[in-house]
Order: sequence, then structure tokens, then C-alpha cells
Amino acid sequence: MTEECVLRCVLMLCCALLSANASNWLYLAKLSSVGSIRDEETCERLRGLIQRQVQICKRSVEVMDAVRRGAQLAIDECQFQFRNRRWNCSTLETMPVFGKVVTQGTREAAFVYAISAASVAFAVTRACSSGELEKCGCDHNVHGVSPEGFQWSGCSDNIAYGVAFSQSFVDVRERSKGQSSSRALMNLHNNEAGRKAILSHMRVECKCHGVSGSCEVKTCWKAMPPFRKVGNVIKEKFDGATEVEQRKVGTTKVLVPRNSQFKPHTDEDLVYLDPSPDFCDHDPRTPGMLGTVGRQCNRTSKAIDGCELMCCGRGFQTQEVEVVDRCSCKFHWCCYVKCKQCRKMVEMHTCR
Amino acid sequence: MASSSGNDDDLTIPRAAINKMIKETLPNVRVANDARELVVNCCTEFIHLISSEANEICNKSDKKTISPEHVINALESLGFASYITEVKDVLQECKTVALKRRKASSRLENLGIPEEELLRQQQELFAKARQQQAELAQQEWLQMQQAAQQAQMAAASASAAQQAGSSQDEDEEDDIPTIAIRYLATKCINRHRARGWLTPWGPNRCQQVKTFDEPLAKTLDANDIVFAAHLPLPNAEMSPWFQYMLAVLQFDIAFKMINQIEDDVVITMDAGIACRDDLKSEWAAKFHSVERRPLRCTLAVPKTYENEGRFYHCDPVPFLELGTVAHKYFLINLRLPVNDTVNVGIGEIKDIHVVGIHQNGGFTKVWISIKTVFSPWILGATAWFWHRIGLMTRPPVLLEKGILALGVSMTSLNLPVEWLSLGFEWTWMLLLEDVRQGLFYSALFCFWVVFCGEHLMDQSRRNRLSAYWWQVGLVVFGSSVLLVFDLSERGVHLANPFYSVWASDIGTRVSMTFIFVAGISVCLYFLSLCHMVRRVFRNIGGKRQQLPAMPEARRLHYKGIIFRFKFLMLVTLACAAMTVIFFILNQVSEGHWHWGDYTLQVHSAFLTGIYGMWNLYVFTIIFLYAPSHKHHKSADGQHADVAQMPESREMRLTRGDQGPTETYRITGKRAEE
Repeated sequence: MTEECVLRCVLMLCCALLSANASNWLYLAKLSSVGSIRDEETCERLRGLIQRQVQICKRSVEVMDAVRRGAQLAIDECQFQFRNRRWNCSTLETMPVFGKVVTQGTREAAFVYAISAASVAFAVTRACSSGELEKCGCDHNVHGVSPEGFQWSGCSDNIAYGVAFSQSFVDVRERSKGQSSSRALMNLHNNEAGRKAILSHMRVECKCHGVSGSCEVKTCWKAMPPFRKVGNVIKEKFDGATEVEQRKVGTTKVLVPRNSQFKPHTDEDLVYLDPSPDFCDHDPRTPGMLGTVGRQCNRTSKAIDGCELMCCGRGFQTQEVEVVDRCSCKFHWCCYVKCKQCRKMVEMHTCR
Repeated sequence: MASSSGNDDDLTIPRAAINKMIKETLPNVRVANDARELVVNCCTEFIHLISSEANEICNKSDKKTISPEHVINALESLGFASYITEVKDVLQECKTVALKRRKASSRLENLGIPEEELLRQQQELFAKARQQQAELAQQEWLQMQQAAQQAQMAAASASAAQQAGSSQDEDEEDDIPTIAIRYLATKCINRHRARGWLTPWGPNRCQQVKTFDEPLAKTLDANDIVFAAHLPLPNAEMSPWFQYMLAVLQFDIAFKMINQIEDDVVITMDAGIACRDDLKSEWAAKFHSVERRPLRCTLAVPKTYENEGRFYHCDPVPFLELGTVAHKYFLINLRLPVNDTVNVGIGEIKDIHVVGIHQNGGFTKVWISIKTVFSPWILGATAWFWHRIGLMTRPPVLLEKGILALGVSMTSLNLPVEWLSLGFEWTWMLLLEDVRQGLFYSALFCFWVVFCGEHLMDQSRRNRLSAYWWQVGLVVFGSSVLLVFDLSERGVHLANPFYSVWASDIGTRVSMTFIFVAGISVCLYFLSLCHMVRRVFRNIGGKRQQLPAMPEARRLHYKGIIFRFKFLMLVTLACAAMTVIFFILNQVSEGHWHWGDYTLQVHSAFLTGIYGMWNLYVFTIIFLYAPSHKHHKSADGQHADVAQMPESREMRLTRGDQGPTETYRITGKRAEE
């Protein structure tokens, strides 16, 4: 009995160690019970962080709420973008959040890393511009710290801080393991690609305010794209991701496309090392591999959300279901909606 | 790039493309090699079939080139009609791509470099970039290593921040005249609609929701929600050096099928601004107003269920304009009141961003210093000019009065009253600045007309302003229209900084009319100025021909006039061209201008440069056209008509004993050159 217990403990420990390379910090999104992360002690209790991330957490506690919102944002966006795919970004209540799917260097892992790095940059930038964080902008000025910097020359953009934080917090996992492993290279590349998805889609807006409102003086600013847009961009990159392998160029190791006839990937493209599994069947040995049994599918579609592909040829069953929908609504913005209830019968197809 | 000419594969479809297509449609299926071969062969066969059919159809219709229509007909006759819609779509896409490529390729052809050479250069560049990339990665890695050695994580984060700063291409220049900062408004809850100000952060921060999807938000009434923004961000304070502050609103509105933005919708805001000078004291209300603004939004994607959750793209909404920044902290509270008629159909507002724009403190410093330096010079020059005219026996002529007016208006523009705005809370400074600029432009325009008129060299006398009533009238009319417009916007801002003429339909129409009328009068003015310049040149041509027949003194006199006119013409055109070029640069480049490898910064240096240039222009005019102090004594009957005119540069510069004749000789020589 005790032996079994010990064995189990060792097994779990091994599992935990093995799965440590997944983006475990996304587990923060699940920690609604902790409440707000206020003091340094909470950092110690947070699951999913490695030691250096705990240190960052202690040093900048007030950012952690934003990081957690970022994690939630990443998961939501992932689930939205993958709602019609066999793997629909479903999360588990245990660590790692996405199960074993992202522990291999697959396309899906590439997406998860990119979207999570982007989401942290996004959430931290947002928190900065709402004044929630004290360290943003002016303190981390590109041209050094100066107390009067703001008065004389303004501040650097908040996005710079958001991206820098994402680099130090999200990338620290891969950096600490050294650059030799191809998996670390892949993760770093994808993290950067995710942040680039924000940086290269900043919107520029301008306002004229010269004499009598003329364009004699014009001021422009950069606005972050909506996160849905970032998600769409990264999803597009996911669709066109490049399969790579590690090669030695000079003294450094770099990732090059496995197929030499393909165009080399850019900084903004996603890369992956291993082909994805088919995600068809539930596999109890790999957590997160839930299979497509019971998933809804679209009968008319020929794409991946179509029943043929989604159900992996197992066929599907059709049910008539009554759906209660809201219709002819009258909205006042924010929180108040007045709707009628409409009932209609729909055909629902689910995979066998 | 693969140069496999003469290969057998050229006759078939590229294998790699097919492989990729198979992989894309069936990502998780393995396809045997012979199966791939078969697919490739099938494809080839299919294309053969279609093309021979198309060829036949083409022959039948007596054409020599197979057109897309022939291919489509071929598809139809072969029984592939179901493909046609798709083929048409692809065709359309191809056309647009081809159009773009044609533009690009013509550029390549015009380069005059053979394509092979270009390719080689491209490869070289790729190699270089790759190497740089590798080096950069190496450096980054080294830096990270060093950071890791330092146990303190503080250092690590700072270096990361620095990396981020440097990795953004260096367009984050802090030498720009104005700065815009985006603040995300916090959604505060004010359940009892208590009076009082809600702060987004700090010790007394309000109760807030992060998003409207939170369960807490579902219990709220829209009237309970106040958007609060604190200007500036923590650890910073505003300063009078910012001179003015504008605020613009940006709405994040999510698209929802059942809650779309209606056409021509107006958003109503209950807005207030408060200020304080230290973080502990109470907020003092400054202004409060209920404002209506048109909301102009577009959705770039089709309005389908698929696209729910995407954001509309909304034009920035002008919100606030303060003529002075006399306090350290500002607080904006904004409520969107809702009832059955107000704020209906404005879509699902997710967030409001307040963009605060103010002048850069450093720029203000430079600007005021420049004004402080320039103003005694111009003032001195103007006084000296007037003194010179006072020394003369005759009353001043119109041109001299024009120059004087120019000097006075430049002085008034130069007067560094901004120093006072640092100490006093004067909200009318922006208005004053506009008036001063307007005065200067009017004086300059009037001066040009008078100057041209005085150089017409016909026999009619024009020594009074009424002779130019047409052009001067236009200038006065145009500038007074602009003044009225300015008063109706910036004037009202004194009482209500939230006011905007563009908010209402009538206001928009009236102000458009005003601007239009002013624009027309400026155009008319320039047309008549051009006409005058043409007449001057015609007369100059005429006079040139008569010159040899004239007596010596008269000839020199005319040559002097011609030279003087051409000189000022050239200088004016140069100044105007510079101004227009810099202005256009400023408009198109949004702050920076990429010019090959050089990034030209269009910032405060340009603005101050232009300003200095016009100061120099006025100074030169005053200096060169002041009457000679010798002349009024030596003026005799013979040179009476010469004294009527202000003297040319050489006249003033050569104060030696050569006397007027010698001066004229030099002038004449220069004119000939």
C-alpha cells in the first residue's frame, strides 16, 4: 500500500518535471480563487510558475493581475480561433492547461506560445494605459530614467513596456534552459512572432490642431489592434506555419525549413518541429487529447468543421433540437438588453 | 528561384506545390508516393484536356489568343460547369494580382539592371540579413546570459525593456513638437449617482469592473457606469510648459448582429473635468457639460455572425480643448446617459480610450527661446526703419508703410508672451496665438500686393491703399471670416472646453461654409497676385528693350527696380517653396519620413527652422528696403523720382563717397548679371 503510494508520488513528480516545458503559467487563468495577486507571498503559492518567474512576480506584483488577465485572454482567443477544428483548445483543470498537446513541438503548440506571449504584452500594455501600473512608460524610457523626462520629452510608448515584460516573463522559461535545445528555439521564435503580430498591426491615428483646427500641426499616435485581430493574424500564421529543423550555422544554432524548397520563414511566421497528431480519438494516456466524439459538426461544409473531417470518418448522428434564441432585442449599451425569446428547431449533428 | 530549366518536371505541375496542397487539405493523411504521382498525372491530364478544348473553342471563334472566356467555355462544354463560379473568382483575383505585379515589374524594368544581377543582389542581401540576424541573436543571448549572472532580477527586466526599446526601429524620437498619450478609461461604478469625482487609481480608487462581461457588470445600469481617466499616468505630472491640452476619444465598439451601430448615430456624453495640484487634496471641478457628438464607424468585414466580436473602426471623436495646462493632475469623468431616446443604437461599447495631446515641454522651451531671441532683433529693425523714414523730408510712401506693418506684425508674433502663460492661467492664449498668426499672414499678403504694385512701372500712381482695394479687401475679408470661425470654436472653448462646432449638423455646415469662403478668397487673392506679377514681368520686358535708349540715370533707376523685384521674388518663392515642402512632408510622413536609408525626422527642428526663416525674411526686407540716410540730403531734382522708391540693397550697403551714380553703376551691373 505504502509502496504503491510512493511509486505514485514518484510518477507524478516525473510527470510534473516532464511537463514543465509547457506554458504552465497559463494556469494563472484558472486561479480565480486566489483573488487578486497583491503581495509577494501569493507569488510563492502560484502554481505553474518556475523559480525565475516567481522572482519576477515578487518584483512586480502589481503586474501579475494583468498577466492573469492575459492568460485568460489567450485561452479565450485560442478557443475562439480553434472552435471549428478537431482540437478546440479545450483546457483541463490540471496542469498543463492544454494537456499534453502543447508539450510536443507541434503547430498547435506554436500557436499557443505565440498567442500567450502576445496576450501578456497586450494585457500589460492595457493595464499601463489605464494607469494601473506605476512602472510603465516613463520609468523604462528608452533614453534612460529621468524624473523630469515626461515634462520635457514625453514618455516612450506603453507597448514597449508591455512587449518588454512579455519578453522577460514569458521567454524566461526558454532562456533559462539554454539555447541549445531546438524546442527552446522554436518557442522563443513563436513567442516573438506573437508579439510581432501586435507590433506590426498597430493602427496609426492622427489629429490636426493648427490655426483654426487646420492640419498645420498634426499629432499622430499608435493604437493597439483589438485582440481579435491579433488572434486572426496568428491563426493565419498557424495555417501557414513552417516545419523546421535545427541546423548549425557557424557557431549558432538556427531553425531552417525542413523542406529546402519552401520559402524561409520570417520573424512573423510560426514554426514547428513535429507534425501534429490527428486529434481524432480520445487517448487516456495523453491528457488533453479528448478526441472528437460528441463534437458538433457542420454537414454542408467541406472544410475541417465539416462532419466528414471532424468526425474522422466515423460518421455522425443527427438530432432535432429546440433552440431558444434571443431575438428582436432592444439594446442599451453595456448591460441592459430587452429581448423576446424565439424558439426554433435546428438540426444538430454530432460526431459518433 | 529554382533554375531547373530543361528538366522533365517542367512539363508537369511542380511536385512540391501538389504536395503542399495535399498536405493542406488532408493534414493528417499519409499519401503514398505512387498516389502522389497519380495525382500529379491526373492534374496534368486535366489541364491538357481543358487547354485543348479551350484551344478548339478559340479556333472556332477565329481568335488567335486563348482568353479566360475560352477556358470557361471549355469547362462548361466538358461538363465541369460547377467549377465556373470558383474559376471566375480566381480569375478576378489573378487580375488584381497581375495588375499589381505589372506596376512592380515596370519599376524593375526601368531600373536598367538585368534581372540576374538583381537576383544576385537579393541573395546577397538575404545572406547579409541572415548573418545580422544570427549576430543579433548571439548578442541577445550574451546579454541574457549576463543578466542571468546578476542575481537581481531587477537588472534583467530593465535590460529586457531596453532591448524592446532598441528593437523597435528608432522612430520613437522624443524630439517631436507634440505628444499624444493614450489613456484607457477605467469603468467605475457609481450606483447612487453620487456627486463627486471618481478616480481610476491611487488611494481612493473607485469600485470598478474590468469588462462588461463580468458577472458584476450584469447587475449594473448603464447610468451607473462612469468612465474615468486620470491625466497623466502615475509618477508623472502635467506642467504649464505643455501650453495646451487636447483630448480625443476613441471608442472600442464590438460588432454584434443584434446590436449594430445605426447610421448617423449621435452619442451623448455627460462629461466633466476636474483638476488638482497635489495627490492628496480634493478634486476641484473645472468644467462640466453634456455634449453630443456624431459617431462615425465602419466595419471592414461583412456583417455576418462569423464576424461577431470584431471591432468597428471609429473616427476619433474630438472631446476637449484646454488653452492652458495650469494644474498638475486632471481627471476626466464621462458618463453615457441612457434612456429610451438617448444613446440608442450606439452598439456595444467595450472601452473608451482618451487620447491626450499636448505640446512637448522641451519644444515649448526651444520655441519660447527662439521667440525671445528674435523679438528684439525684429523690434529693433522695425524701430530703426521708422527712424530712417522719419529722417526723410518727404512723407513715407505706401510700400514703406507696408514694410512697417510687416515688421510690427512680426514683432507681435515674436513677442514671447508664452512666458506669462507659465505663471498665469490664461485660457485665451491659443486664441491670441491664432490672432497673431492671422495678423502676420494678412500683413505679409498685403505687403506682397503693394510690392508688386509699386514695381508695375506704369505711369499711374498707387501711393494709397485704396488703389489695391480689390486684393486687400480679399485679404481682410478672408482673415475676418477665419477670425469669426476661430472665435466660434476657440472662443467658445474659453467658456466650455468640451464645445465643438463640428458636433452639430448646422455647426458643421456653417464652419465648412466659412472655411470654403476663406479658401476661395485666398485663391482669388493669389490669382490676382499672379496676374500682377505677370504684368510686372511684361513691363520689365518692355522696359528692357527701351533701356539702351534711356539716359544713364534713368536706365540705372529702372535696372535697380528690376533687380530689386527679381531678388525679392526669388527669395519669396524660395521661402514659400520651403514652407510648402516641409508642410507636405509633415502631412504625408506622420512625423517621420523614410528616404532610402535615411530617416528624416520631421519634427520641431522643421517648425523652428521655418519660423526662423520667415523671421529672417522680414528682417532682410526691413534692412534692405530702408531708405539711405545719405540720400535725403543729397536728393536733388534729378533724382526726385528715385527717392520716391526705397533703395536697393547695394545702395544701402555702399555708403562710401562714390555717391549715387557709382551705386547705380553697381546696381546696374548686378542686374545684368
